[in-house]
Amino acid sequence: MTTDRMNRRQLLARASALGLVTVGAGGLIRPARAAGTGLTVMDWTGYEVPDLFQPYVKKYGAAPDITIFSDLEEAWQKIAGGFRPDIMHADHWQIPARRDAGMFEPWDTARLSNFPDLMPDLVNLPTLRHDGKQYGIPADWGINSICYRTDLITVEEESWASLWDPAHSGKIAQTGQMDNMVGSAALALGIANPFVNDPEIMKAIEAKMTEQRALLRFYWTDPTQLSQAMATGEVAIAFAWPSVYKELKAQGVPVKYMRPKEGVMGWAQGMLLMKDRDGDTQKAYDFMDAWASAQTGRWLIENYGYGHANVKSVDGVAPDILADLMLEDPVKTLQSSFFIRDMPQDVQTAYVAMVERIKAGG
Amino acid sequence: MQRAISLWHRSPALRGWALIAPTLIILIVMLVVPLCMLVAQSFWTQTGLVIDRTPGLQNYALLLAPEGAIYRTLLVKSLWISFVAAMVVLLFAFPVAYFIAFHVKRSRLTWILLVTVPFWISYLLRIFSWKIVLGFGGALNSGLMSLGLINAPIEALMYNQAAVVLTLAHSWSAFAVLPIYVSLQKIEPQVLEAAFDLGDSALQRLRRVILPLAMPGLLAAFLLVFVPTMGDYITPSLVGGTDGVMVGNAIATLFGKQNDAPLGAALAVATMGAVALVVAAILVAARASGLWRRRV
Repeated sequence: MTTDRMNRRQLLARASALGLVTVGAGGLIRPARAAGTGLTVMDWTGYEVPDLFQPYVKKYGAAPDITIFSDLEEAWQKIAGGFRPDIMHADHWQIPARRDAGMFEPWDTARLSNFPDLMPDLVNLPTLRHDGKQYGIPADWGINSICYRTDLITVEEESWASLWDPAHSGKIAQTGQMDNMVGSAALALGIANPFVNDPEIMKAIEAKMTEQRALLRFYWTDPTQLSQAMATGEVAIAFAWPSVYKELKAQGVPVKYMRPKEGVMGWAQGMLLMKDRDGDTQKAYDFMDAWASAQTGRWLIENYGYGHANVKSVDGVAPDILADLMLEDPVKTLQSSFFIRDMPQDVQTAYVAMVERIKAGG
Repeated sequence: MQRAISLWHRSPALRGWALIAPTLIILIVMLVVPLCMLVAQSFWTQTGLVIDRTPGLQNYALLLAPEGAIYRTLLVKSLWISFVAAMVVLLFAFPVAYFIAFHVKRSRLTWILLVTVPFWISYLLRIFSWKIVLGFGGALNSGLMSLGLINAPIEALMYNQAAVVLTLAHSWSAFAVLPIYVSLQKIEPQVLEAAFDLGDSALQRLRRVILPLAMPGLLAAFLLVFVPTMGDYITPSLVGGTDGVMVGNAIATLFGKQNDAPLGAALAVATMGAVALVVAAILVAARASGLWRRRV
């Protein structure tokens, strides 16, 4: 007599056959390839908006494939893991180590129509230009300073030392980023360039950062965490990005963005052409040229509150917006701000380890 | 072909292997191989972005050297935080499991489902909701202030080790209730009645009968919380502040920002070793005390 029902033996046999098929199917899965617009860009969150590369969109009718990241380290790891973008966007001081490892190809600046309009102070940064070759093209840059609640604390003198003032103990927040932590300490100590291989300087910076740790509410990791804490009054004074200040001001929180006597802190990014790439080189140049345009710069200033390397980008921007961002005279702001010009790899390694040690309580 | 089919039919072992093949292969590919890679990596060195694959013990030496003090401190602190979190979980999970096992007569499944409700929300959101409860302008502080019990928000609620313990304990509670429930459920009601008849008070019965019988479940629950929380780094980075940093955070930054994957690997291996040692010690202690084997 036959029956449709399986006995246990058959069931096991079939189940195991299914198991083998499942395993076999794994071999059929191939890594998916990018949709194929001919250009892959890896960029910061918020930089995927087409307003930042309109001329490119106009020419090709569509944006390139953009992969976003919010943590540069994560982006480097992704590339190390085999991801191959054509263009990458990074803090300028992080470039040399990877340039020396052969990750980037120098740009042919003659192919960029907007290149002559870029600020020489940024273009000639040793991190971006090396051995007469332009590895990184500057585009976005900006300032960082201290933001504080005018109703909760009194600041006698606008200075970086106020982030170390015991009077504000428990109400201070510091950034968790190495470059800005070391920068703040250097400004408070009056050290012009802490990013040199000098044990004395490093010791002083370490002592200063350790001193600050005891006064902190927290090291902030994302701007939302900071703006919420400042809005409730949990934190009264902090190292803050301009965007945090703008947001708090828009909410009606009584805040002020400091003009410390030692100067504000400046930052800049470089756009990089990857050596190992699959995309169309002409498209890469068109994308870069679009980013370097004054049109992009103006949008960046008006919408994100950052600066832009193109000197013409401030044209037409309302004076109060520029004043708020200290961009009335961008070159002067850039030159007078505390700015990382170069960071040797061993110095970077030492400071990163130091900062993580201090944050962890060592 | 014919022979292969006949072998297939004749050999239960072959069919057994084929049946577990997917799990086994996934385990080998996703666990055994990466673990071996991690151990191998821990003997390398990294300078900047360049990895030197000459094997050596320098990373482990650093962990034992004076410069490695911070990692040892973090390791001990993490073991402590996880231990306290696991104990807190046991303390809260046991009554729940006890109630479900002995006092819920109908729809036990519903109760067990209720225990898992917190797990229906993302882990990250659960941590965030603790930030909302404990935060400076959070539910607890604003509630106490509106009741007039405090004048200014209590800042000690957040950004310290206690906040990490509390958040971890809540996040992992369901993992503890289930094994304890299973071991309690297996206790025959007659045994409890016998204890009662022989003159045990409720407390004595709990101590001398129920707890020893539930010990396998309690131990399992403890380990299920203790082991995974050791490596957690999301919770400390969100609610730990400057005080609540754990060893997982150090491992993450070594692999990331600090560009020292080999040292990170060594620290990860050391952490695994430390967890294994503590777990072994607890199991040995449980066995030595006789709780493990006691039968009624």
